[in-house]
Amino acid sequence: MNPNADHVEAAGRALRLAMLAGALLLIGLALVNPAVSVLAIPALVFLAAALLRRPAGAGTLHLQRIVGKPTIRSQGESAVTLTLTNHGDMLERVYVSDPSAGQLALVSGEAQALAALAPGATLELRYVLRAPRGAHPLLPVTLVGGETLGLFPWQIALEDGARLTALPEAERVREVAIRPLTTRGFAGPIIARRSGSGTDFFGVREYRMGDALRHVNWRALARHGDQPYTTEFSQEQIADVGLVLDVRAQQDFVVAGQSLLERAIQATAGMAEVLLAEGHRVALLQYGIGSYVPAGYGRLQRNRIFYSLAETGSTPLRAFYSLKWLPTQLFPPRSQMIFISPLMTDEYTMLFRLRAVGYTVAVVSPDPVAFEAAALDPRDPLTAPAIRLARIERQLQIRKLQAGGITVVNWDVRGDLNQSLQRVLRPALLAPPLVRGGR
Amino acid sequence: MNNDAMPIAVRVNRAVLAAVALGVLAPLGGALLARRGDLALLLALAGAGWIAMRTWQPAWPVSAGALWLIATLLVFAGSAGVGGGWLLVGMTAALCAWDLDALHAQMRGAHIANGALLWRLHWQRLALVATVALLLGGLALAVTLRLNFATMFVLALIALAVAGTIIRRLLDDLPPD
Repeated sequence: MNPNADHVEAAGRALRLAMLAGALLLIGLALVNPAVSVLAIPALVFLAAALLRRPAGAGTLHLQRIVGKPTIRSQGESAVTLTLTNHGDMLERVYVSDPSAGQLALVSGEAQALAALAPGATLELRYVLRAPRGAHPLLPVTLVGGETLGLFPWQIALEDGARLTALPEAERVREVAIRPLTTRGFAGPIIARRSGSGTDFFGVREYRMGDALRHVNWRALARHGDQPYTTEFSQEQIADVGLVLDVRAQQDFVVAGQSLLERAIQATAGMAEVLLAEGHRVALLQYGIGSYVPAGYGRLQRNRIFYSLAETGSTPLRAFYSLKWLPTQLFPPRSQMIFISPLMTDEYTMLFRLRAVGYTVAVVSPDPVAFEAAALDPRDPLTAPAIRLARIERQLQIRKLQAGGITVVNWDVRGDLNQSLQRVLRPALLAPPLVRGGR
Repeated sequence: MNNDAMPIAVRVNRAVLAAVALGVLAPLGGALLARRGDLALLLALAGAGWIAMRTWQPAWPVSAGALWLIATLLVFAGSAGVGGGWLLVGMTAALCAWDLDALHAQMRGAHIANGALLWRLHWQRLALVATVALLLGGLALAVTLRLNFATMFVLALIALAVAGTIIRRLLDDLPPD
């Protein structure tokens, strides 16, 4: 029941009753018929009784709403406890309702109740809400009360600022194989193309005083005999990674209630998780709403990114209509950039420009053609040629990007993102580096 | 609805049916005594319609419409010479049915806490109000006052002013759209 409607209905009831009493009185007087005039008396008595018992309001009620888990996974569940205590006189009739249960999904329990509350009595409602991805400010709890006959109700909406945040589901990603042109000075998984304490072979040089004996290259010593040589290993370091999630309205695509943007968000979350777990410094820009999470490390950064992704949604802001306004200054020069977009418009000059100024650019693209094709009617004779044409167009687009030195992961969202990443990014690592050296 | 609330809702529902039956049968009896079979038939149809519509549960407030319909029929019955006592009982019972039906509608789909206390407070208040209404109505029917036109006119003006004040206050209380 909608409490607001209930309030209007209740106030309307009193008005209707007053009008009925007035009408009966007037008709009785007009007809000079006491039997008709007397019919107004019960209605007037009802009104008078309700007016006499009319409460001032809900000043002595204390309401508390406790959200068990304020942060959950997408489609996760959180228990909510609503406690209403009457610190005043007898409350003959009160209707308490949490409209958030209508806004989100009520899994179990009762989110609305009708009760009479004696002085000092407490009403407790326990219910479980399920929430889709997003930051959900819970709606104010509504109380509708009044005297027994319910003719003169009061209504209050209690705002407590409670929120329920449902973080996005992260796609399962085991590795994001990247190779930026520069790395940072801390140990990590990226081969830095200079000697250090890694595991990959880097080269052989003459032995110097202080070199560990276990690094002496005995084969080279046996071959040359005159002086010892030392094996060098590649240094492995962490990198700066900028994730750019394309949330512009023209890139969102909804088919049969499923959003392609939702999958892009899940991919971003999965990649952020694994990159941070490997120790990289990760930043997130959501291009389309201007939300930016500055670069950072570790678990705290993971939470920042996930909270930011929880709040995101596509937006038709004109300021972000074109990619040419991508704020590159937010990302360190020559770092790795991963652009997550379904590539539904053909305006990627900016990506080529990024590549040209030294960024290593990879595009992870949820495939909109496969996404829509799955929902189309295969019996329609136009479906097959239409899909084929769309696939050709997309292949051309991807090849154009690849020709510009951009690695493109074309991800069929019905499949595994991890496999798509491995298939494309792993071979890309074996390609010769364009620039040697590290920071 | 929890288990202890179910009997309360059922009890309220039965009380509504009883009140509707009384609200119709009392004036119907009066109409039959006054040999107005047509009015009796209309009242019976109105009562049956009220109960049927409650079962159907349409979006619009059934009881409010039914109350106005019954009141209209009672006015006709009063003009047709049906005894005032029957009409008074019918009107009071119809108002009780209208009130109880609103309570029953609010109970529908909601968890009911302290249902026994809620119901006890409600029927006690309703019984008190109905008794007072019947007593005052009966008193008004018993007392005969001879009024000239001027007194009638003044009384009508007072009644209009009071009704106008009440209606204005109620309109002020309505929340803005």
